[in-house]
Amino acid sequence: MGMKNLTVTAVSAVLLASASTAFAALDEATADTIITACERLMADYAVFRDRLDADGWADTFTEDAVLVLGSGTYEGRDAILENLASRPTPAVAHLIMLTSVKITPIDEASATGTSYAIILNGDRPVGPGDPPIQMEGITSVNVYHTEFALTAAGWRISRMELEPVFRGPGLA
Amino acid sequence: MRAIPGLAPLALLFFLAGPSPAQDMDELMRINAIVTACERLEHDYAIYRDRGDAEAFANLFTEDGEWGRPTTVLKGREAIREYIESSSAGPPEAHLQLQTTIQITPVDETTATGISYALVLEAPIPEEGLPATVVGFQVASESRSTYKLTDEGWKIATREYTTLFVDPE
Repeated sequence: MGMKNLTVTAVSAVLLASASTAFAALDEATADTIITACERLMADYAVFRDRLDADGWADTFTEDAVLVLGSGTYEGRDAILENLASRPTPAVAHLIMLTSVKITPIDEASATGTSYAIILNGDRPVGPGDPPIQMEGITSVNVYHTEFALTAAGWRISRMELEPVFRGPGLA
Repeated sequence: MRAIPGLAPLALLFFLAGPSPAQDMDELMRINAIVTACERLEHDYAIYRDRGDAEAFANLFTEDGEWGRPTTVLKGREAIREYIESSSAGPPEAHLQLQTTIQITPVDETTATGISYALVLEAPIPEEGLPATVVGFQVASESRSTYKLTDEGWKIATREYTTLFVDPE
């Protein structure tokens, strides 16, 4: 084995050891706390989006977050807020129905997540007492690839990329 | 679950402001315990409803809990239990309420609020038995709840829902 290979091996070993140490440093209670915090962020993301609560929605992201949707890429909290604030109100009935949510803590200040959601997208608002929208199936199923970061304000989404996987017959 | 000692009025600020790194991990864990307890209520709600377990379903509510139905509000466990018993008397149906998004917001050490979504699949059970056949979902709804910490643990104090989507059939 040459000097170059030895160096690469040594550096790899150090990096692996560092990664293992960082992960091992997370005790079970800390990891559980991170997981719950990030799961709550995903629920906040869904409910605030559905209600067009632009301030609440934007506050689930870091200041410099990146949000990649089918409609484009939005960089920074202000752009993300504007994406929702610019939509007509009252909100048409829209449900981001999160199912599997898998959060993986990386260290004490970062985590990643993969989340599945069934999307129902209506064509008019439905308030209490209004007749429901008739819909012959779901609108779509998406996967959300997410990165989370611990900030001074708590855990926030630092990057989210939506991957559309299925399109259903329901209204869009 | 017993009342959480040590959550002073300052803790209310914590609940309202959300967690930050400077705050004690124990506080975060206490908040997460409330969230987890209320999420469990949401899942129990779905499963006991699907099974027609009227006793267990009614006991998810506080003694004077209120369950808002489309045309009325059922008040108290007895009324809720009777409703579930009566609604389970029809022909056998497969019924699954799939709880999806659940957003729990702790208010203080004994109160929380929640918004949850459910997708309901429902179909008659064929003579030859399960599986039943479905093409689409039956109902999709949003529920809004308040939860209270009681001597029996966390319970649903009030719950109402809005059906947003239905199958045309």
